[in-house]
Amino acid sequence: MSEIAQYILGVIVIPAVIAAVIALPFAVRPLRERRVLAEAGVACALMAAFVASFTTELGWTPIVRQFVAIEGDDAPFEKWHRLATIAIGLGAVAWLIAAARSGGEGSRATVGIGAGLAVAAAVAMLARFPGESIEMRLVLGGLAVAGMFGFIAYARGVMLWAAWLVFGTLAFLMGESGNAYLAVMSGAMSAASFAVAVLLWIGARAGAKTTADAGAAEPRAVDASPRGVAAPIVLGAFAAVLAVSGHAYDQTEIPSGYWYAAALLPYMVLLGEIFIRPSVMRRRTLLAFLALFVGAGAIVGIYAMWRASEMRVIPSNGQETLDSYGS
Amino acid sequence: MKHRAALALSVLSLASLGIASLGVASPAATAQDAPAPASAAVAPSTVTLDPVHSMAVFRVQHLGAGFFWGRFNELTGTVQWPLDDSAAPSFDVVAEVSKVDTGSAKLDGNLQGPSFFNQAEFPTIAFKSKSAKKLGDRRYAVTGDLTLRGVTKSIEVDCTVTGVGKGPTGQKVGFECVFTILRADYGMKWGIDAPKGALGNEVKMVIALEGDVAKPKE
Repeated sequence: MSEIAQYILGVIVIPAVIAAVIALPFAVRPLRERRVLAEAGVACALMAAFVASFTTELGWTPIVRQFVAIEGDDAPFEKWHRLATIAIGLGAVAWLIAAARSGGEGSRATVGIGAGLAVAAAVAMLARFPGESIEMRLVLGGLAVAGMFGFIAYARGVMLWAAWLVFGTLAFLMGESGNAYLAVMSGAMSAASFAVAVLLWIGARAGAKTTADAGAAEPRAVDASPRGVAAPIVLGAFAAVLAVSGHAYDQTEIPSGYWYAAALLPYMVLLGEIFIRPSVMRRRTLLAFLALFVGAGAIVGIYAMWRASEMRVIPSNGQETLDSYGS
Repeated sequence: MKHRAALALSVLSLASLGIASLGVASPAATAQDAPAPASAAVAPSTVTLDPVHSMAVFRVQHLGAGFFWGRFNELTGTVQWPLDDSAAPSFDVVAEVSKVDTGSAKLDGNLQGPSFFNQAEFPTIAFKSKSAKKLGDRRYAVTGDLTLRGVTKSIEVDCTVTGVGKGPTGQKVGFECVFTILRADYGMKWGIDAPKGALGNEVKMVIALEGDVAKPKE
């Protein structure tokens, strides 16, 4: 196997496999029917993919260094290393949200809204990147809330497929901006989302078949997404954090709109719904996925055209000499 | 009598010539033989680097095959050095990560990103010399602190004074310094173990400096 193939295996494929293994009992069986466990387990699996990719690249030292001094460690703390800590935190928060929402039927909406706002505020406070400012934190908090809402309101039925495209688009932009580490880590998130989406689909098919075989009067609809809001909150917040960090470390001056559009990709489902008529409601999931796919393609395509037009302009280096010697 | 008078006159003449010649020659001979006073050594001049003519080029092996070269343009800083080479030069040089130039804008962005120099958090690379050992005529082994990506390590640099010239704006001095570092020591590990062998760990640097000698205050 070539060195590059080994690298891709280590930093993208294996983290996605780890996520799939963690998600397996929640996505297929035996825990799929236990809503609280299922939504938290899926969210936790995706965050594990990021942490696995991060530690494969950099080890655990950059995470441990944030809390305790390590003997012989002379490397400085880098702000983007907080992303791994935030991923671990969000993985834990998913369980708390799911547990709180299972407390009582009447309080679910309140708990969900409160949890979403609290998570958005927390990531806005914790995720400090170069050039940080109050405005940046407000943008991050707002983007996190908007991302969560996009996943809950529009992309719930195709949540993991949406995550696949969101993190895949962010991986593309990270690569273009010269951030090799975050490109592969976002790629790992994207691959993990894809793997878990496949597992959820398999689980849904298996669940529907079991119901039909049992001779149920009303076979249960195929539900290929975890219910609840823990997973959308975690995914929306983390997509926002990744987008803002990518923008903060971008050395190639990709306009901010591309980063934000990638994080808000779930809203493309809204455009897809314009074309959905009641008679084709059964195809809603497919159309939602196609709308997301078109949205991700549009971001990449418009970026490619913009970059091509930029390359046509040959900039002057602005150097001027004061005399014939070039002094 | 006539002979005696002539002899006496000749002796007197020679004697007077001899005394006269001694009287002129003696002070000059004293000045040439005396050792030069200590205060005559040239004091170190401050050489302010000219960014247009100062750069750092670096080389790293790509995929275990060819050597890839890049450069940092527009170095700034100062060098203290007596123009008679009576002491070693002392360097205080800064390179900005934003001035990295590989000939490819995309590659420049990669190098400026968090995987390599992390310009957003560590915008400069600095070298400050601490001591020096003379290796030869205008050539020194300079020891100093290299601060790169937030990590400071002591390194030894082979420095040569390449020349002292005169330009339209005044006197100029050139230096060339060569050293090698392991980039992993400074936290730049991408491409060493993963992807394995994509980029070498050993980075050779050649620093070409030219600066203007500060004019003495009047």
